[in-house]
Amino acid sequence: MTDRFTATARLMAEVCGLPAYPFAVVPHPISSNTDAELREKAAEAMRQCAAILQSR
Amino acid sequence: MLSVVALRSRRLEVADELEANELYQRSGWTDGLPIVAPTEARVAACLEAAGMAADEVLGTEPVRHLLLTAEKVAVNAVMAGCLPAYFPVVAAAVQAMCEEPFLLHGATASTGGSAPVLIVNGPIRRALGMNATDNALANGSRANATIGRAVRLVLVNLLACVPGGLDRSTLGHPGKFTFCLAEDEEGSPWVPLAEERGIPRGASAVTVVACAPPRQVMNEWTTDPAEILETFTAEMRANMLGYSIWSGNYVLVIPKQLRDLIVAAGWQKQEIREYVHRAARVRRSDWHRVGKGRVAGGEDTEFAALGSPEDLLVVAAGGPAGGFGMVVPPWFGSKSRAVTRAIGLCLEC
Amino acid sequence: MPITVLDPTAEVVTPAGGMAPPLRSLAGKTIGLLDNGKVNVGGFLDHAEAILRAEHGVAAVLRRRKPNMSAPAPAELLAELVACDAVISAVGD
Repeated sequence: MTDRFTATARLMAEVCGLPAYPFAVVPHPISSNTDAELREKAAEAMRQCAAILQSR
Repeated sequence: MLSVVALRSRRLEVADELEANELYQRSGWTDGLPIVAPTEARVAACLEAAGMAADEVLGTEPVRHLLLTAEKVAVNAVMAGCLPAYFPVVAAAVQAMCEEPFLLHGATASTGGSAPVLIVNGPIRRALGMNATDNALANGSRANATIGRAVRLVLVNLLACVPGGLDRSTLGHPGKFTFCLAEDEEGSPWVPLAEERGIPRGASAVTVVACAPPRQVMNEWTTDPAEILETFTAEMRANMLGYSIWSGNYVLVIPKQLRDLIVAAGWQKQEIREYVHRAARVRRSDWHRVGKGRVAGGEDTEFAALGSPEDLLVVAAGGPAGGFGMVVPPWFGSKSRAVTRAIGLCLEC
Repeated sequence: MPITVLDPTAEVVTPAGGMAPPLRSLAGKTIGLLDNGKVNVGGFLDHAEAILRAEHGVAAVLRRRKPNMSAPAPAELLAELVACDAVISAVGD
């Protein structure tokens, strides 16, 4: 999720009955990024995802 | 008369009509304009006009499995200012939007900011005093204005399409307040839109299209139908380059002055569709001219505005004077498709 | 004069969903990567895949792309992904 869509993500999480559903957030936008920017954002996103998937 | 006991919505007590409006504004249940208080009697009257039970399911929003009941749609129709007789049109429009080809979730949540445009055909237009001529796409008709508005309130209140929430429209467009027009069947020799799309002659129907903002064209200087349609087509090409290159259901609204010239040349809606299908095309390399060179690389493919001539919806509407026309582009290619639904008539029964 | 008016919202009570249990570790796991079809997400996920393999010891990655970015992923696609140990869906933007 990019940081401009977090409100929507929270709303969908509520709608699905999982209001506290965690997700990774990276800076907006994606569609106009260079490859270097995508790599940097992917690294940050995977760091967050790894924490989410392994958290208790 | 439907018993108000049969209505299952939560009841709210307010001091008066003005307080009702303030409550609904504070609660985020409006489009920002004042609403008509949805009392039990007003809602029941809508259901009675449509011959519907309160718990009749008009449709399901497929992504979140939300049931849209006649009662809840009627509450929003009353709020929009609909008279009971208008409700069958609202109900049919909601049913149409819940049909799978319309892609209700995508069409209403996207950053692309689409509005559902409603095009009404058949005897119900005259029965409700709908406007199909002067200022056809804008203000003036109570029925046009409130029927279109009812659909927006349904999206806001029943599907949580609130700006910044599930409605991610970056800009939206004014059609999101209301966008409902009627075809000028009496002023045109052409086959009405709904009849072309399979509704029996004499029945009333509504066609719903998820649309981008309308784009006005003008050509008062020719009587040649190809030249007239070239003007519409040029606007479609501009839309393909400036907004979205993908093919889909475009709507052309052709008022009387241009329509008379096209008809005089012997062109029916089919000739219009075939011309536009052939002519409304751009090439990928054209993107260089509009600042999109970054994605213009690769094979210089040709893109057509219409997947087939039948994708063009031609509507006769508008005032008697002025060589104007309107191009209403689709929200986003063929992601959402136009759907036509009969009003108050079961075609599958 | 007081009047009674009706709630225009859906008034739906959503049943609480359940979260999957956490993974002990990503090492040796199969991770699904769902591309939502928007521009640049493929490139983003290429890097994500490389990072998951190199830095987290992920054994296998299943890449899938939604055919329609504005609609939910089709059931057949989801059925493939649900066999993974975890799925990362990207990018809402």
